[in-house]
Amino acid sequence: MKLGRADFPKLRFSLMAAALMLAAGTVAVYLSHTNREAAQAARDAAIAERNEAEGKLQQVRQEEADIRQRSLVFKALEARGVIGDEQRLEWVELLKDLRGKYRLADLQYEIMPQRQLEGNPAGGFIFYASSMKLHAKLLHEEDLTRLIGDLRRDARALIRVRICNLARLSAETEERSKGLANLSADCEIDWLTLRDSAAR
Amino acid sequence: MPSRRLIYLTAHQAVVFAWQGGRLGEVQSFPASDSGHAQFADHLADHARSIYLLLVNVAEEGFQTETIPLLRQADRRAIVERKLGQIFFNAPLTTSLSLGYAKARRKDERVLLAALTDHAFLAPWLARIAAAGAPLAGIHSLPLLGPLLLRALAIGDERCLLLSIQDQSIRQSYLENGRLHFSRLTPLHGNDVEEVAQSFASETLKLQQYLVSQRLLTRQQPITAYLLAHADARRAIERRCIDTGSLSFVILDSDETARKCKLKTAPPDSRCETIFLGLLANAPPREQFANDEQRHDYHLWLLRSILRSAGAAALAGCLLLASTEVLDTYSLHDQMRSLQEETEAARRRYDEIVRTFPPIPTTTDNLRAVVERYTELERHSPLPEAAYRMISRALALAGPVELEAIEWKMGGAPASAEGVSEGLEERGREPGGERETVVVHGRIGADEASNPRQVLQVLHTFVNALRGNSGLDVVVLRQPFDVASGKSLKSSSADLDDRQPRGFSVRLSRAAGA
Repeated sequence: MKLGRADFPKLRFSLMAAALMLAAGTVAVYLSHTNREAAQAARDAAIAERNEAEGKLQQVRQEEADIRQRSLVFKALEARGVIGDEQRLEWVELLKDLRGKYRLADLQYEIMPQRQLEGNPAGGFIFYASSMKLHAKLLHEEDLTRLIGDLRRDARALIRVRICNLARLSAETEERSKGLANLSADCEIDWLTLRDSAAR
Repeated sequence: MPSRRLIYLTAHQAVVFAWQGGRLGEVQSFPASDSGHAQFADHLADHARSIYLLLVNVAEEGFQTETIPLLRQADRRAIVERKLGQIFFNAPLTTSLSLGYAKARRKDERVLLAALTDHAFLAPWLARIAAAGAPLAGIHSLPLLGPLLLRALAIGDERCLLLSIQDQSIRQSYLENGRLHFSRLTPLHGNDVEEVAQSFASETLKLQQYLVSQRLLTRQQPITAYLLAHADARRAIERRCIDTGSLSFVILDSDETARKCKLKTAPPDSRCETIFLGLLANAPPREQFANDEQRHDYHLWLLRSILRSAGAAALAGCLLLASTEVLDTYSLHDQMRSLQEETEAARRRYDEIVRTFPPIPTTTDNLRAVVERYTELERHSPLPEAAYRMISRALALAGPVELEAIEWKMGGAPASAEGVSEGLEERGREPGGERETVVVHGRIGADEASNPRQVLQVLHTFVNALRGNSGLDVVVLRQPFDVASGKSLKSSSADLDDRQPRGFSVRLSRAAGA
């Protein structure tokens, strides 16, 4: 069979129909395939979301008692004032009270500027430390242990003792000769607090 | 889908039949005259989209058996065309059929060359078809359908005669091994049953004699003549057609034959052109008389049909694929909805559990991190009191030891301590492995009876008492008397005559919080 120029008009409609059908089919496949891929992506995202939600649920179920316990600790820290801004005025008042309570011959201290504690933030909270140099003259070493114990119990911060040097006063010193103090104590103590980083 | 139409062309007329689902219906007949040709042209114009098959049944035809060398494709076609031109000079409607290969050494091929020789009669009809642009699928001759009929009836004789009646003629064909070798058409004078029977009997004998004369048959060679006739004519035919020694008759019932040929409309009488038309409509043979030019419109129709079919097939395939994708999409959406419901349920349950917790201004993750860090810090923040108690207990065992100073430090040895090993410094820096270090400075009192050994013994008792605490490393930094081999020892150092207390230093260290 040989096709002439006059034959093409006779084939035009069929050619166009075939091309249109092919194009329509291609568009249908493209659209349906695109929709399916989008649906698949959405399904995968839904699976990930479901897994995350179920993981959290499973974790919270497993750690329910633990979380309750932690919540109590957290609330206690909040109530005590460990969480939040430093309360230096209260610290000073506490130190003054303790000096009076234990009748210390001398109690001197210097609280350094607050700094961020080393290590990564805990969740959304950051730990801060304020170092304090403390010098005291004591009658007995128990005055020091009681002083530190009271600080840890009553301070609106977590107390961490870094250094504590206890030395016998020379017999020639005035305090010793008058019977006011036998020992001198030089300590470095960190006042630790924590704050929500979002509230910084 | 265009309808299929069959044109049955005889010397007197052309009859158009419509073919649909095995049924053949006569549409219109056109006399072989100018007016008939014009009507035919009008009919074609009205039905130009139908596909036409032309079946010619005329006496003006020629059959010639030729032997050609064993050739393939173009060479064979060329030699066949040359022979057709030689034998049927000026006949444009020719065809050829292979009759098989000779069993001789050369394996020559026997070919039946056929032609419709009265072109002047056929030309007006063909011209009208060409002018209308009607797709003509082929021009066929009725005798060439004889082999199809025998095949449909499962007649496998080596040689046989086939006689049939159409309109006003009787067609007589000679076939060998199911292949046509000769055929001729003679007029039928009257349609009366007796006349039909008489014609069958006489024409069969004439054909046999002719074939003998042409040396296609030997004189006494037995042969069967198959007579295609209506049941009404059977008795008359049986009376007239008596078997002889070399010729036997078999009457083929036209109703039964039509059924076997898958034709749903059986001929009403012995005229059985509709059976041949049915055969042609069902399975047109490859061999036909139309050339490419005459079939051009049919080829165009085929091309259009292929294009549309291919487009439709592509569309159907795409739609099928698209439908599977759509079904998948629906399924994925269902899964997603189900997953979202599960997620919501898990979140609700999570919220319900969390609501039962004491209210805290942070998330559970933050809570966990904060409390863990706080607990860790607290655990690694020991007070010096425990160390003091250890030292106090050891002093109680040691005897005359007077303490001068206690240097307590977290995270390695005190800065003022001497002789601190590097290993201890390293351990103090281990993450989460901070060490509590205490350096004790003291003096051991001496009286008149004391000697260095006794003073050292007091220190050893003190040190051993300290070492009784598990996890506590005890290192003597300074001895009351330095008796180490690597150092010099003077008399003044070992002399206790001055009664002065002897100083010593001991370093204690342990993991913080132990």
